[in-house]
Amino acid sequence: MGRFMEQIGGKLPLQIRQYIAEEDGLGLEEIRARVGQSMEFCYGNGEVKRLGKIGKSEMEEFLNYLSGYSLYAYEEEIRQGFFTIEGGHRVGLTGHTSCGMDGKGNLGQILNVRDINGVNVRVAHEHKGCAAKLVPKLWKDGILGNTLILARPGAGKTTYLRDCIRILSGNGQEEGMKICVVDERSEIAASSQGVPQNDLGTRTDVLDNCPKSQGMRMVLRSMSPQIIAMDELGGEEDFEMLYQIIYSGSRILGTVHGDSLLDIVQKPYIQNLLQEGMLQRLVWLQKNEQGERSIRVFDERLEEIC
Amino acid sequence: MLKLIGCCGIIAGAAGLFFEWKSREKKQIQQLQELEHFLQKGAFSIEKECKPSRVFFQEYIEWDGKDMMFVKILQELEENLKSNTFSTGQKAWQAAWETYKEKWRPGEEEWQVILSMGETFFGKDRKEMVFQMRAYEQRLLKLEQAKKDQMAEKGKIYMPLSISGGLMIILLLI
Repeated sequence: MGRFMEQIGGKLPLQIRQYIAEEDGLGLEEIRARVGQSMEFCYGNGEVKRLGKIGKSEMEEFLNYLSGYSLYAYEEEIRQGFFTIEGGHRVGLTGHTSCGMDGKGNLGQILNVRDINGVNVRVAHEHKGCAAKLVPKLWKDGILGNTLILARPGAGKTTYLRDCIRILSGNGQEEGMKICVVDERSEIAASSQGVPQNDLGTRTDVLDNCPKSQGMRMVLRSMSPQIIAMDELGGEEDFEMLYQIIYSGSRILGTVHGDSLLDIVQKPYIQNLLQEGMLQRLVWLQKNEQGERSIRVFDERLEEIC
Repeated sequence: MLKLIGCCGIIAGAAGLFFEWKSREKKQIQQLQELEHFLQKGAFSIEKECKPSRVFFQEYIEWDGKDMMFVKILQELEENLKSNTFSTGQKAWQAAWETYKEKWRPGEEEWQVILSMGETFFGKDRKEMVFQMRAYEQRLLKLEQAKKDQMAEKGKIYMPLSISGGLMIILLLI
């Protein structure tokens, strides 16, 4: 049985599974299921295959397989609209949300998502070596620059971040750097029962399923990291913590998503970091219609290095 | 001499029957206790540790299971779940128990509780699941108590009955 069938193919509803018995999963990026619609298999080259039809019972069956018959164990994650399964594949959900009320009687925090009607499985890819050419460009005057990898959703930020971590952490032959990964959504290390499923090098410690800002504080205090890596920085708290990390002498390696490079660098938090000279490298990752990726690296003055 | 041997044989036979009945009853009580223990551990694992049910089953097989048959049932369940061919966890649970029903020999009420227990390990709401587990544990405790009372009561009758029966046969032989 191939890795695809073992990790995702074997979790599809039985009636769909028969269609994909020969599937190797190459280039597959997303599997989308909507109640009342055909199941979609979306590939990196833009191809979309539609198979079978998903009813409410098939959706329940699919969720049971994805969650290992334990949907309750993902209660917290489901409240945020997704959960991550073995192999680092992210399962996004839509359905009926129940919200609590805030003090002013307005709808507040999401308490639950039930009657799930849409599922999007984003297939995680581990492309070892994809960042081999990028990593040497992240150094400035012999010091690793604080780096953010920027891209549109689905362009491969996490894949590149993971490979950067693996290379910088060393492979056991060369002495790597001490890296702490704050893996809020279990997508970088794809930990299962606490054990990382993806190769993150020999000197990497993973704090799994922990909110980024809290996690960064924890590892900074306790793990003496040379680099702290995290995915999808976005909240005010996240960026405030970056200052503490930089002031304490550790380096940062993170990702931010946005529509364009300009759109991202105009975000106030990133603009501040750039103006204060806290960021030395910005990597803009792009994917064309054929699914090929290109990289542009910028310095703190937003001048293109390569 | 032959008569003496015959008498001893009859007494031994009567006592054997009595102890066989008693050990069967004890075994059933132990099985109920195993189920109660399983529910207690399950409720803790789900409420406090939020462990997926399969992880809990594996740990129970490895560390807690005392009854070998129950461990086999859990192993069968684990195989069912691993295959991802049962659309719900409840169906996988039921299939595993159906395989071992003849060997486990549950009473009617116990069987109903066992089948319903499956739902509590594969739900969506932890609070509801734990609430159900505690309710089933209470039902099993009542069943256990009833079984113990019944055993004590029957023991009072069977013991003298088997001895006097044996003695009567001996007298007839003499």
